[in-house]
Amino acid sequence: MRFFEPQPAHLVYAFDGGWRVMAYVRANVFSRTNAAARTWFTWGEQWAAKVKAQDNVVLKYWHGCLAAGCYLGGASHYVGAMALVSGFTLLQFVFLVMWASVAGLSMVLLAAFNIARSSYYRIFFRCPTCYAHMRIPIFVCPRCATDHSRLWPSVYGIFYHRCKGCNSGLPALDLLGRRKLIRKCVACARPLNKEVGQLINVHIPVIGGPSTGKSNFIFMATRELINSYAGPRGYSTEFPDEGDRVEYTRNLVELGSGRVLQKTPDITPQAYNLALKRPRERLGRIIYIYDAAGEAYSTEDNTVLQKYYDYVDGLIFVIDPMSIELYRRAHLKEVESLRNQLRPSALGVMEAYGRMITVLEASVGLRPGRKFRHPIAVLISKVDALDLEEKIGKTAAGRVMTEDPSLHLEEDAIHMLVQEFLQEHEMGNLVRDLYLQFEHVHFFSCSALGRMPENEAAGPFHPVRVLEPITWILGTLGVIDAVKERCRVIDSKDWAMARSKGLFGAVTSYYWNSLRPR
Amino acid sequence: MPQLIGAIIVIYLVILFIVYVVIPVAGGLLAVGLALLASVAIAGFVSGVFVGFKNFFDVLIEAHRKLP
Repeated sequence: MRFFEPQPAHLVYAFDGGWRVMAYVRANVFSRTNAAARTWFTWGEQWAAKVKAQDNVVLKYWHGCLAAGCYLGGASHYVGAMALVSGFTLLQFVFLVMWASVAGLSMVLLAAFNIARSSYYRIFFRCPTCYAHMRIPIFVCPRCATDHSRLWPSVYGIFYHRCKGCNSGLPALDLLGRRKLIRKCVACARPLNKEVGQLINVHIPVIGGPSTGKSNFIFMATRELINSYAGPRGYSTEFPDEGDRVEYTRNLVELGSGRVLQKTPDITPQAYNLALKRPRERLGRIIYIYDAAGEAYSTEDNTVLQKYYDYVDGLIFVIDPMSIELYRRAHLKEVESLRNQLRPSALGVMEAYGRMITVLEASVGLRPGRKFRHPIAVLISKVDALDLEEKIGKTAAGRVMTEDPSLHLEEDAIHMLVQEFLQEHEMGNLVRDLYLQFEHVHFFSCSALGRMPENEAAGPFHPVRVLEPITWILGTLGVIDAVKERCRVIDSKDWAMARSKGLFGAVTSYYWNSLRPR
Repeated sequence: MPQLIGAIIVIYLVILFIVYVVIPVAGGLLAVGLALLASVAIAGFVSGVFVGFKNFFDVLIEAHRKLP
């Protein structure tokens, strides 16, 4: 990216106008002085002519004196003009050099501050539509709609640029109101929402084959995140893009009416943005959720189009249990009889996973012996179907927690159960590979709809455990305080258990036994 | 001797004439000439300064008006 590009704005006086004024003054003051001086030289010539014609010596002498006086007077015009122009040129030069130096220094300092700040906080301009990463978007002049591609402190202005189209001042810093201007992507020219480039970026793609229930999960999880998690904790949430808000509302109405969402048609999806801010936090986050159609993972060609993997921070991998070969075969009759409701995914789990890893390796790059640092939430969807809730759901989790008191949270029990379920169904290689490839892996089970989508009369869908995967991933990324909360819950349960053992037992159990590795 | 005294007196008178008549008159004529020269030159200088300032400020304003 080039730092300098000619702009439809006037250059700062110190970089353009000032020097042109200096040249103009130099060129024009002398030509105009010349006209006045010529008059005096003409008078001098007239007196000189009289000297020649005169016989009287005294008069000859006096006429000569007058002629010389006129010549001297004419010459002094040039001296005066030269003195003025020289003085002005010198002062203007010093003034312009000082101005340009101060402006240049300010530009360097502001640019360095901006680069350091955006790198430190990971605040970047990334287009939710075409995924282009840009150092600065195109800003549109609110009066004449002229595009300004480098509206930052530059030779066009440190604090403001003056638009050539309408002469209006455009703020070159967010502090001065630049964030209020309309911005466009440099690659696709689509308008960017107001929070792009203002908040810390968090990119999370939701991955899975066709009909794994990704879209239903995304909207239900977002609803739960906003209503059940963010609201009670005083987090502020907002859809910075009006289109996303409208889509969210429309989809919730659909789901609330007991109708499943239409299949996602986009192989390369537009990111769905949600701004999230903790109470008293200075800088919030802008979450980019990518919901690509399952067909994005059906072929290698489609998968490589998912350019947003370059920025990915965390991943949600959705598995349709009906796409697990062994499970499908074991429940063939039920699956076939409920095909329309279950809509089993046609893409194998390992195929989707393999393609995701290929793109991730190509985008992020991985050194030998190193793991991906991105947290990955692996979730088995549609647990309302068949007998899944009994195996990897709440009931099974309760049973396991009773058997193993060290499991304090249902989430941890389900994490264990899902891994066992996958291993039992010949997906042990997936579990092993996930642990080999990723530093942070967590398994979940959920149902975005909460029941089979057989008829609308059954009323709205009530999702089951859709919040856990999203809070785990956001907590691991430090976006929300889920990890702290989890620690607090485990600690309070540990303490409650320890207290039941008497004072000595409590102290031994809480402070000493807890140090033992599990 | 009386002839010598007469010559000295004549020379004295000539000198007196030169000192008190010729030189002052010639000096006066020269001074008038120089005064004319100086006054015209000063007038030219004052006019030059005035014209210079006027042109300079006219051009400066014009430059800022014409140039962006």
